[in-house]
Order: sequence, then structure tokens, then C-alpha cells
Amino acid sequence: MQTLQYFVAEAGILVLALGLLLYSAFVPNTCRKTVTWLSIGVLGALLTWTLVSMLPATLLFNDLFIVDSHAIFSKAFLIAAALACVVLAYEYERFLTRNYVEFISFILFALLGMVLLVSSQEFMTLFVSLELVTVSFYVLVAYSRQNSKSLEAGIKYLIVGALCSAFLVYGIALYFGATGSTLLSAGAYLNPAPTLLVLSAAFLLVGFGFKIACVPFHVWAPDTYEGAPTPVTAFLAVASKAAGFFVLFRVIWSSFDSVFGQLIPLILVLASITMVYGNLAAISQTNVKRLLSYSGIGHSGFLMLALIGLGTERWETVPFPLYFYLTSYLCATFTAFLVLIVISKVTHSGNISDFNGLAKRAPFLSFAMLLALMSLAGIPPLAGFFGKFLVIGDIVDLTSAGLLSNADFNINHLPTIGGTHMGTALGWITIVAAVFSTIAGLYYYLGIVKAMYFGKPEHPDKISCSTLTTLCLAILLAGTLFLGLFQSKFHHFAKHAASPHVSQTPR
Amino acid sequence: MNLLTLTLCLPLVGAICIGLFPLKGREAYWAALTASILMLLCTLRIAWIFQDALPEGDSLFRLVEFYPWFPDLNLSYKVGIDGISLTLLILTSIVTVAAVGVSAHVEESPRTFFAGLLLISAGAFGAFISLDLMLLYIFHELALIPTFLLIGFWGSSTYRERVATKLTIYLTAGSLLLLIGLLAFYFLLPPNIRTFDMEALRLSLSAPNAPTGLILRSHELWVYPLILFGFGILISLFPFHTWAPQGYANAPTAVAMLHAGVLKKFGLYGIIRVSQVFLPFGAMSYWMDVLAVLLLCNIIYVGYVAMAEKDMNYMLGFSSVSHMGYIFLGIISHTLIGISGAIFLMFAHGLTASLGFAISGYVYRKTGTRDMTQLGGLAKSMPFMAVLFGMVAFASAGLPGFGNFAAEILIFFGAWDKHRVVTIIALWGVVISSVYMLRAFRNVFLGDLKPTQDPASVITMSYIERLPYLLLISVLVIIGFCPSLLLNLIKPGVEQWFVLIGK
Repeated sequence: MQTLQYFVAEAGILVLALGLLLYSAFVPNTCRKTVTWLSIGVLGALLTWTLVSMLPATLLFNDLFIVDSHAIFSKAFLIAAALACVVLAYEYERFLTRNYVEFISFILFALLGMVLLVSSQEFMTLFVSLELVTVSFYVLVAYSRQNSKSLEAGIKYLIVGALCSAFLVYGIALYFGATGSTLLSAGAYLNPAPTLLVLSAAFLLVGFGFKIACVPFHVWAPDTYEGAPTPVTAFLAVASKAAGFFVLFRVIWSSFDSVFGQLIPLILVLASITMVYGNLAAISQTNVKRLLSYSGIGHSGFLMLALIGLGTERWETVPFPLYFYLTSYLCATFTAFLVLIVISKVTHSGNISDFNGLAKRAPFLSFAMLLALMSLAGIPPLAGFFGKFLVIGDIVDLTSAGLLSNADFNINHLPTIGGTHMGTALGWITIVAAVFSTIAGLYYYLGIVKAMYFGKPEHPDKISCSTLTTLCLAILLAGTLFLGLFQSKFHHFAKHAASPHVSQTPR
Repeated sequence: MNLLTLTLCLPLVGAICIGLFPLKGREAYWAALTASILMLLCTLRIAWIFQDALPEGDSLFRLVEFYPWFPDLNLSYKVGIDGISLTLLILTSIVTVAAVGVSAHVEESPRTFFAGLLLISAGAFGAFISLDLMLLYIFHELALIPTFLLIGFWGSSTYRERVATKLTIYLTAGSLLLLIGLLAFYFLLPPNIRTFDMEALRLSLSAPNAPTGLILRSHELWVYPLILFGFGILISLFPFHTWAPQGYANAPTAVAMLHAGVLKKFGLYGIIRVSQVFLPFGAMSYWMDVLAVLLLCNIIYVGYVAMAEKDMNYMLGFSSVSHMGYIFLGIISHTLIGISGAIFLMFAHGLTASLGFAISGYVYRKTGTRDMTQLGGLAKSMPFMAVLFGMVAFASAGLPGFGNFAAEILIFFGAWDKHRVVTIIALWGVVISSVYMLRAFRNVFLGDLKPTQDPASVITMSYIERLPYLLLISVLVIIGFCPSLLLNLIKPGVEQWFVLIGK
């Protein structure tokens, strides 16, 4: 029973998901309102428990499972995302031709997979959790079976998901070959690290690259995002991506600490291309979901930059920008998707033209959308600005200190990769790319703002939204505006996330 | 909370109240006017107590207030003023009152309009009192989105949305350059003096046996242009100026007034506060020559462009871009009187430019056109505006009796020693600006009324309506006759802030 307290979130989600599934199977006329409020209540309680329980860092189940402050923060983040997603699903409910309760329970299964994923300390556990996430998403993405776009999205996600799993398994196999163990901490003890480990890191990066939709593994994202039901799109865009980054952080930090320095040039190049591509491709989009998906690709590039520090001696600065950026992204993205759902109830098309004259039809919704978009664009004093600021600030710090080209701190590095000046030069190129893509980003975000405030409304009627939506929007907006005030909380988690963690002290 | 923070809160609270409460009709206008007048009164009060509020300890600033805000980023809310900032605060408050004052006619969604105006003003005010580099940056960005919305929605032409987007993208590009420059500067500082606090940076620059620069000279050479052009885009420095005339021509009158009068000055303020002092080697290097060439382009080339313009707002916009050249000349003179003149001209030009746009907006509202070939003889129907515009024309041309003259004289005297050729060429700019301003005056106000216009009835203007214009012109004349009123504020500030001059 002692171990159960580390397991409350997972157990709670599992019970809720199974309960809802059974409820929908045995009760013919399910009450959607009850289900929604029940899920919100349970998830809210679990979120509170996760944040306040203050458990010491521990390894469980023969080192397969870890509860440390990184895992706790990740869980809180993912549960919060699922909470917002339930609100979105409730708003979206009339588009769901099939069982609403089943839809919610699949979201919960995906969430369960994610919270297990961020706590995995062993590659098999990690892989199984990841498959739970992916399989739940296969169902969710293709949930509107009658809609051909949703089916197309489902097929694309399925094929790419399978490919991604293949890469992951290959990477794990190589890892096992290099270390003789599937424990995440096994890689850290290898000194010097063999080339096989570098190869394994590269394969795993490709695998997770699909999850976080970085170029060139992004091709599935726009079509899937567009076709999937909007709550699923939001959940994919925020929670799935965040889970990818959380687990990447853990894997790099625990297993590939010794070899990640050599991959920095690669990551810098990929991140630059991802930022520029995502933001340029978003400019020509007319569908809001596609636009947000391309912009999400751009944000992935920024988040990859946040991980760079792990390969240098400034590793302790990494988690804070990562957490902050992701949280600001969560607030802004869910706001945007929630507004989109409310509006598409009236307009049905999902194009930017839907937003024409929104300021007159729904002043609160358009104000919320304005703040969300400006936060995504990185305009101070909104949360998105501080996220970008932290990330770019760290890169400028690393580059100007020459740390990107100096690989001496690595226990074992390949002298051929990363010459003396190459890392620094790449660092500056990346900074230029970040600036350029931020400007490009502002252009298309302003396009939506333009439609909302300067466009002519197609109908004069007001658009109203439910109390639950208003409340959810208010909370998300408060996050966008005042996230900076809570940074000590972030800092608390971040400090312990990058402290020498339990896995590195052999038991 | 001291008087500075209180004054900063006035427009912010005003904007929030106007946004929240369902005010109808003219109520939003009166609310905004009240907030801005209160802001002006508070600013005057600050000026009143400025001499007595002596700096504490070895601080360079008065009325300092400090709260940590974002400790991980070393970000703090630190505000305070010296003579330089006080001058610009007075400018901000005066132009805000005038800009709100001339906007009584705004009928469409007045609440958003006035809330936006107050936000722009708050951004400028906050930027001028910030003593923290990042705070300064954030305040300057605060004005960006309201500007975009105001130009795009209330702007005067059909392609205002495109212009609004162009302006916003230009300014964001500038501020990102600036952000990178500031970050690079910050991280290149030696760890023991690494801070965003401008006062601390300035003190470590003048500390006994301090190094000649804060960061390595080779680094200064590339950080300097980042910061220079970052601010430069906002100031409409030559190759990056095209957003400005378009933006001003299509903006609603009040926004053009605030932007040309105040926000642009923020860029110059940044250059004076940051790049010229913290990067002394970069400022004295070949970048000074580059800047000299660019500022001549501003004065001469853009001046000729202004001459060719037929649209009154475009002409005023180009003229305002052109005048930035003189201020740059004052800044790169690196002499006490040159820099003081630059700051003086920032003040005087702020008043002149906003008055010009106010008159042009008024003429456009009454006649429906700004095409100077379509206008004529307006002195008969709007004598008050004719007199005012005549004064603006003379002020822009640098005639004695207006603040601009005093400022330009100071700049030319200051720059003569170091930049003789540049000064001589720049003097020609005075001729150019008198040509286009006087020509505009002749075309629009003198001669006979054009047949296309309404019959020559005198358009009556109540005294209340005239007040905003009178406020601007009277301050301009007062400082023209009594430049020492301002110079006594500016000079000690410059002496104290610029290390090289102080030593």
C-alpha cells in the first residue's frame, strides 16, 4: 500500500476511464452533463493531488517506474490538458455522431498512457505506455467515421504511428545492444560511450521526432490535425506533443547524457528548419486548424531549442524554459481551439473567414482569441513572450559563451562532429532562424486578428457560449496573462528535475 | 507606490475602465480625456518636485522604485527618472492629452479606440521611466498591438489593413533585433556585473579603475548594430523608414500624433540610454560613419521625397522621418550640447509632428481630401487652422521663436567639430523642409477656394475644440523663447549619463 500513493493519478484515471466505458455500455441513455462534470471533478482532484502531495523522488517496481519532480510536473501538465480537452469535447459534443461517453473515456486512456510514459524509467514500460497513447489516438482521430477527412486523418496517423514505433523499437534494440539493459539509467554508466549508443540515440530521436512533429517527420501533422475532431486536434497538439518533449527530456537526461553533446549540431539544424518551415507554411493556410497545426510545428522547433542545453554544462537551466514554454503554449492553444469550436458551431466551415467580424458578434471570444494568438506570437507581456524569451535567451547564452562548439565536457565525443566553430556558427544561424520565424508567425496570427476586428460579419447575430466555456476561457486567459507570477512554482519543479536524480545513484 | 507608478497606472486603469464599463456615446471620450488630463497633472507635479527629490546615495535617478518581478530572468520593475526622462514624460503627457482631445469625433466603437490610445500612451510612459532594460523592452512592445488594431480599424484609407500589418511586422522585426542585441549584450557581460539594471550598468562603467567598456571591444562591434538598427527601425532610420509615412498617412489622427510624436522618440531614447553609453567603442567605431551616411539619407533623400508628395499626411510623414536625421546627428556628435540638442529636438519635434497631423486630420475631416492639389484657400474657411499650420511650417523650417530652432542650432554647434562635412550637408535639409512646408501652406491655405469645395463659409470652432491645438503650439512657443526651461533639465541629465562627456 505504501507504493499506491505514488500511483494515485494513474489509478484514478484508469478507474474513471473504465467506469465511463462500462457506464456507456450498460446505461442506454447516458447523461452527458453528468459525465462531463464527473470527469472534470475527478481530473481536477487528481490534478490537485499531484501538485500538493509533495512526494519524495522514488523508484518503484524494480526500477521500472520513477516518481520525481519532472514526472510530477509532467503529470500535472497532462492532466490539466485533459481537463481542458474534456471542456472542448463538451462544447464539441453536437458534432460527435457517436457515443460521447466513449469519446471521453478514450481521451482518458490516452491520458493514462501519457502519465505512465512520463514516469517510465525503462524502455519496455516506455514503449508499452507510448503504444497505449498511440492506439487511443488512432481511435480518437478517426472518431467521426462518416467524415472522409477524419478517416483520412486516421489512416495517416496510423501509418505514421506504426513507422514511428518501428524506429523506436529499433532504437531500443540498439540501446539494449550497447548497454545490455533496458533500464534508462544504463546508458549513463557507460564510460566511454560506444558508437552504438549514439546510433540508438539517433533512432530514438527520429521516433520521438514523429511525436513532436519536427521537420522532416511532420508530414502527418497538418492532415491529421485538420481531419480529427477538434478536441482531439487540441489534445494532439498540446498533450501528445508535450508528452513527447517530457519523455525526450527524461531519455536524454537519463540515458544519453554522455552522447547528446555530439547530436547538438543535428538538433540545431532540425530545430531551425522546423521553426522556419512551420511558420512559413502556416502563412498560406486558410483553414484555422491547419494553420494552428503548422504553427504548432513551428513551436516544436522552439521547444527543441529548449533541450539543447542538456548537451552542455548548463544542463541545470533546461527544465525551466521547457516547462514555462509548454505551459504558455497549453493556455494559448486551448484558448484558440475552444474559441474555434464555439464559432464553428455557428459557421460550420473552420476557415479564417469564419472569424470575420467576430469582434462585433462575440467581443469576449475575440478578445480571448486575440490574447491567445498574441501569446503564441510572443508579444510581451503575455506568457508566450516569456517562453520565447527564456528559450532564445538560453541559446544566446550558450552560443555567446562558446559552449555549443566546445565538446570537452563530454566524457566521450567524436572529434569529427562539431569542430571548434561549427557549433557557434550554427547557434547564431539558429537564433536568426528563430527571429525570422517569429516575424513570419506574427504575420499569420495578425491575419486572424485582422479578420476578427476589421472583417465584416456574415451574420449580425451574437454568438454566445456556455458558462463552462466562459469559465474555462477565463482560467486559460488568466494563465496567458499572469503565468509569470507563478514562476516560483515552475522553478521549484525545474530545480529538482535537473538535480542529480535517483536513477543515477545505484541502489 | 510613488508618483511615477501612480502616473503610469492612470492611463492603464483608464483603459481597463473604458474597456469594462458599457460607456455610451461621448462618455468614453470624456473618460479618456479625464485620464489623460490627470496624467498630465501628475506629470507636472513630478516636474515640480523633481528638483527637491534628490537621488538617494550615489543613485543617478530620482523617485526610484524597485520590485523584483521575474527573478530567474533578472527582471525587475525598477523605475526612476532623470532630466532626460522627465523631458520625454512631459512630452508624452502633453501629446496624449492633445491626441485624445482632437478625437471627439470618433463614433465607431469609441470604447476600444480610446482604450487603445491610453494603452499606447501607457506603453510610452512606462518605457520612459523604466530603469530595467527588459522592462523598457516590454513597455515598448505594449504599444504595438493597440497600434495595429487602431490603424487597421479606424484608419482612413481602403488599404489600411495592409498598412497596419506592414507597420506591425516592421516594428516587430525591429524589436526582435533589439531583443537579440540586448540578450547578447547581457550574456557577454562579465558575470559579476551581469544585470539588466541600467543604473547598475552605468555605475559599473564609471566605477574607479573600471574597464573602458562593459564587454569586449570585438563583441561591441557586432552587438552595437543589433541594438542600433533594432531601435533604428522604430525611429525610421533610412533604409527601414518606408513603414512610417504609409502608417501615419493611414492611421487615425490621434494614433499618428502619438506614434510620430511620442513612440518614435522612444527609439531615440533607447539609443541614448543604451547603445551610445553601454557600447562606447561600438558607438565610436566605423558604425558612427555608417550612421552619418544613413542620417544624411534621412535628411536629404527623404526630404526630397517629402517635397514630391501631394498627399498632406504623406508629406508630413516623410517630413517627420527626415527630421529624425538631425536628432541622429546630435547623438553621434558625442558632445554635451549636441546630445542636449538632440533631446531638445525630440521634444520640439514631438509637438510639431503631432500638431501637423492634428491639423491635417482636421482638414481631411472637413474637406474629405488630403490631396494638396485639390485644396486651396482654406485660410478663408478655417483661419485658425491656417495660422496654426503656418506656425508648424515655420517651426519645421527651423525659424527662431520655436523650440525646433533652438534644438537644431544646438545640434549643429555640437556636431561641427567632429562631423563638419555632414553638418554642412545636413544644413541643406533646413532649406528642403522650408520648401515643402511653405509650399504646402501656400497650396492648402492661400489662394482661392477650389470650385470643388464647399462655399467659403467660415467653419466655426468652439474654444474647447481649439484647446488641444493651443496646448501643443503654446508649449512649442514657450520653449522656443525660453529654451533654458528644458535645457536646465536635459543638460545635467546628459552630463551625468554620458560617461565620456562627464569625464
